[in-house]
Amino acid sequence: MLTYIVRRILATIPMLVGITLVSFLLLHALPGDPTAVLLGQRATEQNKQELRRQLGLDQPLHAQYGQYVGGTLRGDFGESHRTNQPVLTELKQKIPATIELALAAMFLATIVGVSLGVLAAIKPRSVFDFACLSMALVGVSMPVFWLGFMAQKVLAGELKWLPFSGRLDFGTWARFQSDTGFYTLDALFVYQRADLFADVMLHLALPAIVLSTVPTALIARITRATMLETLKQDFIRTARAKGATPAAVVLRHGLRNALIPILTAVATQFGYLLGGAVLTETIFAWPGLGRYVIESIDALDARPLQASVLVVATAFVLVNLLTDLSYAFIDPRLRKREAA
Amino acid sequence: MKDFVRFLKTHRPAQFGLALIALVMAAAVFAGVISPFGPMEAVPNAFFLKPSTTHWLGTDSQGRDLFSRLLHGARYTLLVALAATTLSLLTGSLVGALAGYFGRWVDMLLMRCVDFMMSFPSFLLACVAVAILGKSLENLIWAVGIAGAPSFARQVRAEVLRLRSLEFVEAAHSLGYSHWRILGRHILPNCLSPVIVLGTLGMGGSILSVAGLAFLGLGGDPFVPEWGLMLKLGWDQSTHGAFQVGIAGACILVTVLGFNLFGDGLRDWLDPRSRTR
Repeated sequence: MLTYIVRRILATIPMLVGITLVSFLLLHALPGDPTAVLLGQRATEQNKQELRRQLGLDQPLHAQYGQYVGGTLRGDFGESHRTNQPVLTELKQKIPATIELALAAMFLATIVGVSLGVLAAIKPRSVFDFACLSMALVGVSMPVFWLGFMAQKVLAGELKWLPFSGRLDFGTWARFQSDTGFYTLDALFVYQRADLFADVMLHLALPAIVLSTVPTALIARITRATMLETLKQDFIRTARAKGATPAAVVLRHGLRNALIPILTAVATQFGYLLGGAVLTETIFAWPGLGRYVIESIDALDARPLQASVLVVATAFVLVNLLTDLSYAFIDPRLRKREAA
Repeated sequence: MKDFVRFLKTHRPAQFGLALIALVMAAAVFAGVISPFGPMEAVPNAFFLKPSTTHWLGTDSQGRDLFSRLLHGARYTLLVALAATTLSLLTGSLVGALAGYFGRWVDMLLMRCVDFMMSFPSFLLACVAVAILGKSLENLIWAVGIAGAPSFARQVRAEVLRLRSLEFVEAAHSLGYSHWRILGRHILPNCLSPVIVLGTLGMGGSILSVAGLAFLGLGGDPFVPEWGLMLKLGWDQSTHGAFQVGIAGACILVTVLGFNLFGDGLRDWLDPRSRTR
């Protein structure tokens, strides 16, 4: 098992190097001269030369890349020319916002998706199964931003059950100081106020529900398919024959053996949510990483774009790594094979 | 073909999917004939009209007939998605076929590139690609097309690997055929069915990606009646545009649903093992 783990970890290193290379090249690939973007239209050629020297853009590419990687490792991502803030400071607020949303959505998607999938697999071709499959199909066929808009209109606009957008009510938000960027944690542990926590959760609910539709649908489909397959196996019949309760047969013997494909689906979806929440964040004015990417693209703001691409891709690679490593712990067969 | 028709007769979801696709295609083809107004034709002083007998679905912020715009939108949406999917299919299949057939360092090199592309969430990849290429519908095709290619590459590679060791390929080798002939005439045609399934399902994905990117304002000219752009236009107008957002989104949903249902049906037909699922 150790060789498997080591080999898998080593395999991510070239990936990470490649990611830094791509995010580095983004600065040069974006349309327009970076100095012209920074200095505006009236800049003289001399000003531009001066700035090029200051930013190190007059050096050969490999030297620039070295500087970039060095800066990245030290946590120096440069400055955003749109806000004149260090990118790191902005990321410290954006990343927790995205993680909070992605975790909430994933929590919903896993619970609802796995339950629906298991229930549908217990009674295949029943009305419930048909309803689940249809819902899953509509779920993956739906434009998320459209669903978000409709949910916002109905649940927040008409019925006023949930807040419209943002992470907190505006009045509260202006006075809210968040050190970690995780509003749920700050409300609970720094402010220690239940009403504040409730407000944060209410704001989180609608975006999380909308964001969870596609993962829920996919997880439900995969759970159903693998459970159907697993429940046909001989050991399930044996478990039934020895008199295990139906719940034990399905959960302990069935679900446990169907876990690997389900876990893969959950992890992949989580990776996507970290970078793919762009649309949901836009609809609900959620100040996360996805929104940050789009704002940076709109303003041709290279540094924040580079940093966000780097962060999202690295997170994606690490989530996949952790998934692969967790197989070794879930599936005893993988352990045995390596030992033999 | 006969076999497929027989299968289609028994497969309700695929029938339904095909019907939806046919409906949208008919709207696209006959948009010029059916639509009562031009897609860009603005009626003066007729902004945000409610649905009526003249304007079946009302008008938008510029006084343009929404029903006509939706019909013409089917053209843009389908064409853009088709072009993007074809691009993914061709580049992905080429890469996958070369990697699977030649193996060794070619396989190593190409598949590492594919793995690398897959280490970016594809929607983000498409966003960044549009940022580099510039905002326009044509560039959306490139962005979505390239971002979608890796899954085709993986599928085709797996298929080529399986076929490469079969007897008929060995026979072709012993007859002294060139690599290109074996690949082009003997192996690739046999990979066709999984690629068609992936392509059909990919159409749905492309439509959603294109609409999403257009909604984010990366689609260039906002007045083109593409459904994603129409949705964005409605969203920008908040309450007044709600109806426009609603129907444009519904059109996208129906079309994507059609391709997904039909794609699933095709897969069941080509891979009988999945039928039980």
